[in-house]
Amino acid sequence: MRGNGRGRVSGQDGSPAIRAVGLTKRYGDFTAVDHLDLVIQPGELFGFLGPNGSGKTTTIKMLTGLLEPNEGTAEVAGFDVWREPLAAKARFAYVPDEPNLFPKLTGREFLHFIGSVFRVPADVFERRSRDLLALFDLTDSIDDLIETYSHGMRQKLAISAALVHDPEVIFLDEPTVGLDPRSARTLKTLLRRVCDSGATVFLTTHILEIAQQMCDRVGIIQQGKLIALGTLDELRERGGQAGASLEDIFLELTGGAESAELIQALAEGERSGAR
Amino acid sequence: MTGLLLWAQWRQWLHTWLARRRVPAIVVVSLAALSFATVLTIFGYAIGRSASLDAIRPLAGLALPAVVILVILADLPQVYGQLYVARDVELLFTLPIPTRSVFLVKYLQTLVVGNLLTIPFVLIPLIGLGVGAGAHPVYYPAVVVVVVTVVAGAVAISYLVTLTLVRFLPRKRLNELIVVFQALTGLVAALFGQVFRYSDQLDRATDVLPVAPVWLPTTWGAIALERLARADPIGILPALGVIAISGGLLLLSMTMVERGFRLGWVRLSEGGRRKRPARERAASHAPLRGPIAAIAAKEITMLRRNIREWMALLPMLVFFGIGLFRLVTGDGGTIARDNPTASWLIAQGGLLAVMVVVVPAFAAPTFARDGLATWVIRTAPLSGWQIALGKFVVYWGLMAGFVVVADLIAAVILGWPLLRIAQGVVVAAILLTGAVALAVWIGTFGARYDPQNPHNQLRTGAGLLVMGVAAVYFLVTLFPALPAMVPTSLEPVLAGIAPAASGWAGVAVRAVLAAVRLKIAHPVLAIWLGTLWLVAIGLGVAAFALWLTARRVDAGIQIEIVERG
Repeated sequence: MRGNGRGRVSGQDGSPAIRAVGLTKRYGDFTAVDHLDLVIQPGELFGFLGPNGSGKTTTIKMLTGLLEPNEGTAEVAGFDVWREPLAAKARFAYVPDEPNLFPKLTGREFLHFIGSVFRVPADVFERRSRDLLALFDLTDSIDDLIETYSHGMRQKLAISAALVHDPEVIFLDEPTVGLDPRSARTLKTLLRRVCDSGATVFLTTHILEIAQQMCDRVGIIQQGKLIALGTLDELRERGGQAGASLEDIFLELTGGAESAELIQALAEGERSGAR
Repeated sequence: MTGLLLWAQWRQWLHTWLARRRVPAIVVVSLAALSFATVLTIFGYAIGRSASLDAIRPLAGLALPAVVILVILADLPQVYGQLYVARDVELLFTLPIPTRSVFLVKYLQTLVVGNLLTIPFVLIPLIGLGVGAGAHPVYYPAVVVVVVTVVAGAVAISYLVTLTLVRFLPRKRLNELIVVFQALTGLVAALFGQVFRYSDQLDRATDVLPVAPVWLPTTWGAIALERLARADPIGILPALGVIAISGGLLLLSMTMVERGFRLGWVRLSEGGRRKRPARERAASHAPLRGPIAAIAAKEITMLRRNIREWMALLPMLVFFGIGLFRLVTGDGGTIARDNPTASWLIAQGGLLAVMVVVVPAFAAPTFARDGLATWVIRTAPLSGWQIALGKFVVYWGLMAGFVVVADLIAAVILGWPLLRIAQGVVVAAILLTGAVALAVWIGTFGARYDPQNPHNQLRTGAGLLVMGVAAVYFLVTLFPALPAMVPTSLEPVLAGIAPAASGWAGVAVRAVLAAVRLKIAHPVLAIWLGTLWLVAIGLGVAAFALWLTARRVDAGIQIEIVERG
């Protein structure tokens, strides 16, 4: 894990980049996210981990104003996402796990749309979009309709659109899914650089290696509850597992260790059956 | 394997329906279906009563090929969607299931679900016909078998055509062709609807209807029905012929399953995207826009590139074209050119009627069109006002543009004075502000995104509501404003027709006459009052509806995403 970058102050003076207080989302009797409290400082690269269906995407959607919480508040750069939505949205970017963009626009038109909405100065937009497109190898296909893009290309375009307006906070839901190894490496380097310059990144991922390499801190959510929060060293200390990898800690906390034992028992059973 | 697939499909439908729990929608659809069935039964019964068993052969001889044409046209887009677009196909092709089983399940799905309306459309009148004409009881099961078999054959033809087209055409051309078929289906259905206009000539039906050629298998079905209605066992033979032909068509389509379905799906899934050399387009150097202009530009670009969206305007073009054709040809043209004032008023009324249908259909689905990409708008720093205005401007501009073009074409042909053209355009432009804004607002309720069916972008309730609201809005805004628009020279003409006019037409004529007389008595006052009313209501409703839209957008609009299994 890396140390925090502190290149610039985010949002309102002294306020954290992201703050969730008692964030709760219920669907009938089912509680998807249960009183989540979270504070993420500017310049931090935060990894939000959890098993499938644990509430990661629901949390990210509440933080970005796509889902209204039943209880609690969500602030981005000091602005309440539901009370001051425009001020908050002007400061963050979001890249969903399924990058559905406007299919009948070309990649360039989509970037243009985003640049216009965020009022990026024309010269800055030209420079940034050119750099991002080159970085993600999209220059050749940028004038094609988005409907002809592969999942990975749409993902790269969504990431480029998120970065083109230089947001203070970037939310990424499973950003490496669908990316080729080179683009995944580019993204990791870029996100680290973005955080070092003072922006904040909140990402969810299933790839624990990525979280271990990149993130300053991680939070682990299970069944809607935040069950662990801290740097890797802090998590190791708390679990008394010196030298343990993030994968070990994650499996220990989320019950994956039991699954591993079951898998081993199953494999042994099959082997003895075969004999 | 086919049974297993059918079971899986059945469970999917069941869960979909149970999950929706839309009791009001089900009640509305059931009531509409009941009314539809009653009208059809009465229609068939009335023919049977007046024409006896002799009517069965000519009527069925025409109804059956008509339904074949309708089924082929209507099912082609569905078949294409079922075979090459549905999400389940990818999974099914990776499972050890014979392609023929998958194909058969798709075929049955189209036959049963895709023709829920078509089969009753021809079956019910034929049953009514039998009742009216006193057919033998054996006629009723026979009519069910013949109609279902004929429809099954037509569905098989749809599959055959699709499987053949897929082998030769690229995906883009196929998509365009499907849009053309959708448009043709609408037109053919509208033409079939014209049959009810001749309900007062039912007793002459057998005399005036052309006789279908005997080589057509559908005519065999008609012969079978007539014979069986008379309890003649010979009727079984032509019925067997129809069954054989339909079965043969299905078998023929099944022989093409491997090449047409599986390999066709593989070919279409591969796509034909070529890597293009890097090039800079003019757009890249275009100055960045403000947020409202950006929303409007996005909306218009997406509309421009999706030919399916423009299908909502088809009724407008068809009705305008037919109306103009009638006005230009025959005696009507001379009368219209001799009375430009009257022809102007009639044309404006016609345009207005078309607008009641077209504005809701075109503008209301604007939020639904964002579909899966709606998160882009929702996470952008855009206020509800900016989004609502950006969308409103596009649809208002397009609608007003169509009215201007239509008015200009009609003006050139019918010789309207310049002042009248300007008056028509200004009134329409003001009227459209409120109508479009209302449609955009109602579009925030019940938005539905169905990528395969652009006509299905509003939930049933919202679709009905937007039409009703548009009609009421036009009436409320326009009628009090009539004194400002109606020329006083029409007074003698209106006074002449008013006593004889009855029903809704009578009410309308008398209302216009009263407006004209008010204008004659107090010309300045009438013009000012009418204009003020029009502007105040038109723009007032527009502002209010946009404000409501903005609030709904700020609160977050939910779009129902239709996924096809």
